[in-house]
Amino acid sequence: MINALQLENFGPTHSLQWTGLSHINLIIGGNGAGKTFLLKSMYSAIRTLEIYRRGQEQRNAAEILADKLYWTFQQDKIGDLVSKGASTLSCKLTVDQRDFSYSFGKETTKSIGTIENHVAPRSANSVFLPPKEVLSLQHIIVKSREQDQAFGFDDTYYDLAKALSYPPLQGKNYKEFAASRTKLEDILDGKIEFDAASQSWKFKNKRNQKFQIGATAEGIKKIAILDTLLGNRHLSPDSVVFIDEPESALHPIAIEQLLEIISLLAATGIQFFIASHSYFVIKKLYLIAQQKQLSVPVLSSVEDSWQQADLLDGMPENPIIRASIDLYRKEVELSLG
Amino acid sequence: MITIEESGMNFGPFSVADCLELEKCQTYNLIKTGVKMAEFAVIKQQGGLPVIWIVEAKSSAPQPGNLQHFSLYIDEIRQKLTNALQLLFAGKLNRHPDWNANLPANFRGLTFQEDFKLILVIRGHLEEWLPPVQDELKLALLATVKTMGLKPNAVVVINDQEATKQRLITQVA
Repeated sequence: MINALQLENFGPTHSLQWTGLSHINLIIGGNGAGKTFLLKSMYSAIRTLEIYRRGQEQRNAAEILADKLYWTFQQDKIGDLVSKGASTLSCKLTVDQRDFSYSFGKETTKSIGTIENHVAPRSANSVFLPPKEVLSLQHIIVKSREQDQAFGFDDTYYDLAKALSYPPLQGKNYKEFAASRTKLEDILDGKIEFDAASQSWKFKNKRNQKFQIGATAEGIKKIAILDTLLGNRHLSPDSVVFIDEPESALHPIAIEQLLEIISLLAATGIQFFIASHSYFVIKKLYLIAQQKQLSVPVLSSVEDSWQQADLLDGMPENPIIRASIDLYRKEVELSLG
Repeated sequence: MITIEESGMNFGPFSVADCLELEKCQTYNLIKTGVKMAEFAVIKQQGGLPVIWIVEAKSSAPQPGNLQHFSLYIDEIRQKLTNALQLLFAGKLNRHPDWNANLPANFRGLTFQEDFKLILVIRGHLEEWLPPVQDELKLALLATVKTMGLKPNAVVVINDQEATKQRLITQVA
């Protein structure tokens, strides 16, 4: 699991040291605060570590990382990731208590000069679940990357589209995931299946009625993606799952249920990083932290800087939380004058 | 002037003509068995018009996470505020023979087409804990608000700090 993150001059983040990470970690802040950037910085690093030396992969870590950063952030050159006004960026990730670090300058196009890796090869797969669903766009995403080599869908979408294409494996799945999958399928009231004949995803409810995936609610597609990745064993207890805005397209009740499942999966070993600007998400994770006495580190964007807290210690001071109290105040003012 | 000490807070001072101590009124004393009642009703001026505030005071509230205690707590407040509102209307309609005997002067002039507010004051409750209590109480009183034709924002939950700002209390005892 990722134990700590240190960034210097990485995009909108000038300086950050986030330590003491847990199995569920939360990043909160308004639009443009840099939440997605942070998630992607961790995703590109952990995926580099996972691809490095896997199978017949011949590229060295620097080559894999440069490629990952280029296709994940889709800047003209990776040097554009260096914060404005700074000359170099650096990133250090501590994984399984060992360090992986790199740095490069603003003129860097492909070659990452400084990279140091002490992390043992990883057999797990980490995934990034973006705010938009990918099931109905899966072919388009893969084509745009593999045939057209075009910017548009970044690596978070492309990797996920590929991961979903692996068929479900027969035989026993990780027994730790069984309870979570049952709950996921309860929320879905069915499951999604890849229809080989039409080469498309279909949703099949518990009454065996089939629907085209395009006609299925966004929230169902989102939850179905997680179920599929557990079912085809792409995810394992050592995976890291990055979820950008889990609240998008989900009803508050479904958000609560999804986070409940995430807490079950976290107990099996999977590590989650969740970026959100939803009061529901923060509140539910706060309740999970309290009920399970679980550390949920939270990184909170306040006036261009990142503040650290832990939901185990209480709800953090943040504009999103303040907004709920402000609404209450306005209501009292409206009523009592 | 009248001051009411409840749940560690000193409510008032209110003009005697504007404040009806529901729990101490003669009519309530005759019917009180099995009938829970809010502390008092007071006539306040909002936008130049009289508005009747029915007030219940509490020295604490359970956390919403403690579902059983919280539900019982909300239901008790609901009963007290609803009963107070119904008693005021029944009194106005002369359904209680002794109602007018000790009624504060300014209550006699009300038409009962005025606005009513159902207010819970919780002493020492942090501001960030108030929104869920207000939301829950609003839900519990929804039928009362609808059937009695009150405004949607009639139900309010505040702490002693806000109550001081609203000139409901002068000090925490």
